[in-house]
Amino acid sequence: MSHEQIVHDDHNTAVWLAFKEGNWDAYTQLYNQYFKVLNNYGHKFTRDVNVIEDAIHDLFIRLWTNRAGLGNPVSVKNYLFKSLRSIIFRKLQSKSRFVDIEDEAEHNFPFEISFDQQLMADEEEQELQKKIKFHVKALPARQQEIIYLRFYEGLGYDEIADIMEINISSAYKLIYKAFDNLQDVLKTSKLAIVLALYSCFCINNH
Amino acid sequence: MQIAKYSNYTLPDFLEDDDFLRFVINPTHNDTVFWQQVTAEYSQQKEIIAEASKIIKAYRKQDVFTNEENQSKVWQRIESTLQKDRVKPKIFTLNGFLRVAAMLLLVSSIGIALWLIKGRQNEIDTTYGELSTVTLPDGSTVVLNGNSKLTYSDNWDKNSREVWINGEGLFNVTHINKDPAHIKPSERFIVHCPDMDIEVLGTTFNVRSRHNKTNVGLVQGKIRLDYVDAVTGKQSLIMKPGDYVQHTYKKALTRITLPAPEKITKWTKHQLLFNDASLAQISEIMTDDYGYQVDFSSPDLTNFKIEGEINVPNVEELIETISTTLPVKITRTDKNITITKLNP
Repeated sequence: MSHEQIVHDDHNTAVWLAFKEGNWDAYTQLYNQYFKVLNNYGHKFTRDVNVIEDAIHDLFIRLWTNRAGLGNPVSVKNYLFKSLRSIIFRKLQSKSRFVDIEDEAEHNFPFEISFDQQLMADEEEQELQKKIKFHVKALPARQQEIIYLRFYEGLGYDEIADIMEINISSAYKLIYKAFDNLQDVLKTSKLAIVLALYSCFCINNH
Repeated sequence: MQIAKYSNYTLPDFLEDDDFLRFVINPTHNDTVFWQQVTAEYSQQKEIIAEASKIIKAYRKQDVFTNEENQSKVWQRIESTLQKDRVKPKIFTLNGFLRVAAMLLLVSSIGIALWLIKGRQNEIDTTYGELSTVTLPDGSTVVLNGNSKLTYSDNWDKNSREVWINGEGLFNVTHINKDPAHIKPSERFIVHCPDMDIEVLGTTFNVRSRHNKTNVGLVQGKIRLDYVDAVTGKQSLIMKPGDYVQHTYKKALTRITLPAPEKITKWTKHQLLFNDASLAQISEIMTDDYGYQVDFSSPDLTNFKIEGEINVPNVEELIETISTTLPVKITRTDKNITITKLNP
């Protein structure tokens, strides 16, 4: 862990502890710090802003009313993501109760990201993004979610497993599966081919 | 971080590496130095590293949804929910208290009667500032405004469709009657308010029923009101689209035609809309729907009017609008608002 990371985490821990003591300012700070990232995460599960806002409302009501009994999570962000995720699932589930959903463990809600074309500078980059987009969108929702948590939120496998409520080995398996399905992107990338040839050349020379 | 292991990493290996991921997403100075070393040491890996970081960066260029414009609105809701839990019961005047007690008795006896007849009751309650969309057993929907309550029974197959409302709701009723000359009991849809009943035949209309006063606005379709008039007793009124009716129990009923009836549904999009409204009317909405306590330094302030239309997305902007258009000063602490006259 880097120095900056430690300082940042220490600050977060202090805010969390103050909030648990009933400090209203600390509670407000938590809300303001995480509102935007929570919305962004929630938006991947549903485009219904009311559902996301209701879920964030419920999450913060629960935090405040149960603050005395809360533990000290290693990462506050992780804890909030995990809680928001389960609240949204319950809300979506009760909305679609006419569709029979038997297995509670397997959430079958779509997970959808949308790419920003504006930011793409050159053509090669656009081409790459198009390919990634095509293949990521073809993945099952849970594989898309794990890719998102990994490469967008930059989380480790233990943190991903915690949020998605699966064990770490399942998280690894899930991402292997996603990689497997993404192989086309990796394979057809020109550079990968060049490199493969290059490494053959090196081996032959030795 | 070990440097040697990276000598024969493949593209997927790099994507799985936590240290590499951090270097691409959010590098510290140490990370940059370290990965410069890796590429210097193993120059054959230089391009694969560039490729892996390109893939991650391309994936990360996504649309971001921060919902920033609603950050303060959601916070207000959280504050009001928490405050409502802690609020102490108000002290009523005897007259008002008796009225409330009578109402409670009426409501609870209806509730008990219904419970006995029909079994399970559904009760949907919203807190201040919260909107909720309710889907009724027949597929009709009701958007409930903040601080409102909707009650209905589960069993709609045999009986007529009946709901009880206290507060404000926008109804969108599914039409199931095929032959208007012969309406079966199960095809009736009735909204009960403290001072009147509204009978519906498939339609969109808005009900606001607070403090024993009911306002009904019809957007489309046809509804019938059954109420008690001060002089003539039991009365009925058929409403046409665009009609807006105000009624208080055993008082005369007033009816106007709205120039733009769809505007009465603005609140379902969290819009606060007023037309030539007095401060009394504005403060009523802030108190009843959002849970504010509004105090006026002198009683004549309530008659101050804002000419024209106000259309704002939240209470903050409403306060802003009032203080810029009227010669008043508004001070606010949490949910308490005090309005005082500015000295000329």
